[in-house]
Amino acid sequence: MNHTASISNGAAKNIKRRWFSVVLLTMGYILLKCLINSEAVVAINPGVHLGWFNFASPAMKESVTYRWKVDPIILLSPYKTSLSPEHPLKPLSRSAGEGSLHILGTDHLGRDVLAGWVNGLEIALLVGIGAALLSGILSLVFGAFGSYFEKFPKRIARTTGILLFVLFSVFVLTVSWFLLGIISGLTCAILSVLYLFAGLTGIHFIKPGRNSGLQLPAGVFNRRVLEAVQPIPELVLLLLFTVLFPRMNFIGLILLLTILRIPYGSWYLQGLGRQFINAKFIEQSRTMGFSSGRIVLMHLAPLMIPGTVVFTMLTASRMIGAESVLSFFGIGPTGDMVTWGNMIRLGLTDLSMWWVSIFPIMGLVVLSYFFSALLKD
Amino acid sequence: MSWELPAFYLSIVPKWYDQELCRLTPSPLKSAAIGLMKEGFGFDQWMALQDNISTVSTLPGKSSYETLRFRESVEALTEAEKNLANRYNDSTSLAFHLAFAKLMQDVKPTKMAALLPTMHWWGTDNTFHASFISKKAFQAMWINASFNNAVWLSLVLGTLSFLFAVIGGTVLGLFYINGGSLRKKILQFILQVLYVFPVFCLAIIAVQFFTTDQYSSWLNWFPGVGSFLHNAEESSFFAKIFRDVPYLLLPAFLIAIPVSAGIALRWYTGLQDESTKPYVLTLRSKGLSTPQINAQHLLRNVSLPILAYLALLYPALISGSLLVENIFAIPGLGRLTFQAVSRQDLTLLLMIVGCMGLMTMLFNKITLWATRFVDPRVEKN
Repeated sequence: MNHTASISNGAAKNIKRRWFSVVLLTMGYILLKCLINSEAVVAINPGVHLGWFNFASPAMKESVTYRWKVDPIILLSPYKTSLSPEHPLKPLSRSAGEGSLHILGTDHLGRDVLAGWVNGLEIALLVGIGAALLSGILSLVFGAFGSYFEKFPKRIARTTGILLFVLFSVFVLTVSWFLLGIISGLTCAILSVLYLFAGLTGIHFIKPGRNSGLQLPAGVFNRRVLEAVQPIPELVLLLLFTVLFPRMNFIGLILLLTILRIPYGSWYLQGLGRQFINAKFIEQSRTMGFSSGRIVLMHLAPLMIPGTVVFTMLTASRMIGAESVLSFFGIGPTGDMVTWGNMIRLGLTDLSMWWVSIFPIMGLVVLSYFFSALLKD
Repeated sequence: MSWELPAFYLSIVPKWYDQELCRLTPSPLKSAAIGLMKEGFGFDQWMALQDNISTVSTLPGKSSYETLRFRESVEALTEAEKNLANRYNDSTSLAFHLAFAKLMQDVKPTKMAALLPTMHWWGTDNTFHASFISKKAFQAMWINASFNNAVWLSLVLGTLSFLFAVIGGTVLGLFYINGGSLRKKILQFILQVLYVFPVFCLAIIAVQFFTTDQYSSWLNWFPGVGSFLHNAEESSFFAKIFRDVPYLLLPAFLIAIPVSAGIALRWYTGLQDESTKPYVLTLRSKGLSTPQINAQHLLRNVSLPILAYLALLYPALISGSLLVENIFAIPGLGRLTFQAVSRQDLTLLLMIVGCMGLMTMLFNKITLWATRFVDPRVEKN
């Protein structure tokens, strides 16, 4: 008990120390947005009301009638092309017409590399940190429940088992209809929630006989899911899902990366949670009559947070890599944006413009190294 | 329009979804057809409309009628047709407009009963049966030259990169242990950077600087991108090896770099941890020399976690070869995967994924045998 507590205290101190670098990263990102950007940093427009995520809307920024706005120091769009015979421009050279200085040069279409680099950084951080946080939290919950419950807490009747099987088959059919385009995503989601609700109702209300009924093993659930996912490399699975969902958007990509990462995280964190379930305070709280959910979420999960942070950091660097690979191939929602992966691919089209691909590569490596260096103590 | 065999033995679809649509390959045309039929467009009507569009759009100056095919709702279709009729004010357009209006008269909104699922049985005339169950098709697919060749090339590439990774990692690790503190610090930084270096970034750097004489003729060391020309006539094993290996050296080396950095770091930490254990002190007090301790006791114990790491290494090799084969245009399994993805060929993709799963199992088995050889305490279950 003392031993585990000292471990978690030490880890917590380290996290506190490393927390500062996360703040630094955020501040650096804001500074970059103020330094170079294609739009106004802050703009207040009389025609548009301020609302949730309104600040990102083009109507807010691209309107000419600003009441008040703050421009970045270098107003450059990563998508603005200027075709002239002298392109691509080397780093630190001026374009002839406008005379603007391109610090990292331009590519073969005359797009500024620095602006593209900042845009790529933004996309990489959004995807990486979004997917990492989501998968960290979800696999913490799965791992905590998986380590606490050896068996599913309720015995279920055989009728319910048949009901669950039927519901699962109908669920598979619904998803296939969604993939074919027969029903919309919203309908699919609503129907799935209904099936889940029906299954839970069946488990709750249909009582098993005294000596019959099934008790599902919950402790090996995470392991079985991992065994199904592990033989196929993550990249191949990612490509497979981009085929299945051709019209996937940005949030869809984050969700997909999260779902592919959860089996690994939940199994790792379940192994971590196993160390704590025999601790005395867990037994004491069970004796005091606390519900299992409360014990798992209030007593077991907080002990697993240091491990979750480690997993989240590792995931963030991996997700940034995965996103850049997808855009390197030009598939997925970021395939036609200006991202690091797309800029790196330009290195193959013209071997003489090394600056277009080298700076994104450096960004990718430094960001991955940053996340792995955060883990060291 | 390309009609093919249906995907599986049976289709379960809503009543409004015409059975014939199951034979249409996934395309914008199919999603447009589904959108229209959801709103009550009959299949015969849709076919008649397609025929009309085909006849009109082949006439000179009427190619913009082709855009009518991809409207996903009745409303959008009607509006687009009206715009076209206003733009081309002549007899053919008028005829098309009249025929279109006649077709649109029959569109009735779908009833609730039409939403219920119905099943259609296709029998053995389907893609799944033709490519996986039917013996003849199965044989044809395995003997198919491109798949066979891809498996061969990927096997050679994988073996080469695995060898490079293991040998390079071990050599680097031993070099790392024996050095002074400054060399250790520098090497550790380099290894950690290489460990997180994405393979495709390494490949782009290598292509830019080491395959051309763009920057200096001295740097043109390896054959460049797309120079891999496959000659299928040679059949002898050694002839094949001598033909392919020179082209695969650089790709295999690139795949191996991050992996060997990982192996080197693991060798170092393993030996560091192991050499402080009390049994090493006991051996030393018995009078054994350091090389004897290293060779007979330490290496066996340290190599166990590294063997476990090698088992996990297979996915990294696969995804590395996927990236590198696409960059260097090598017609291996990775390139085939990407082609299947870009052609949306799910049957081929399923076959590749199954193949990869089998190879993973084989790889795990080999690692288990190696572990048993190193440490006989590992039981046989």
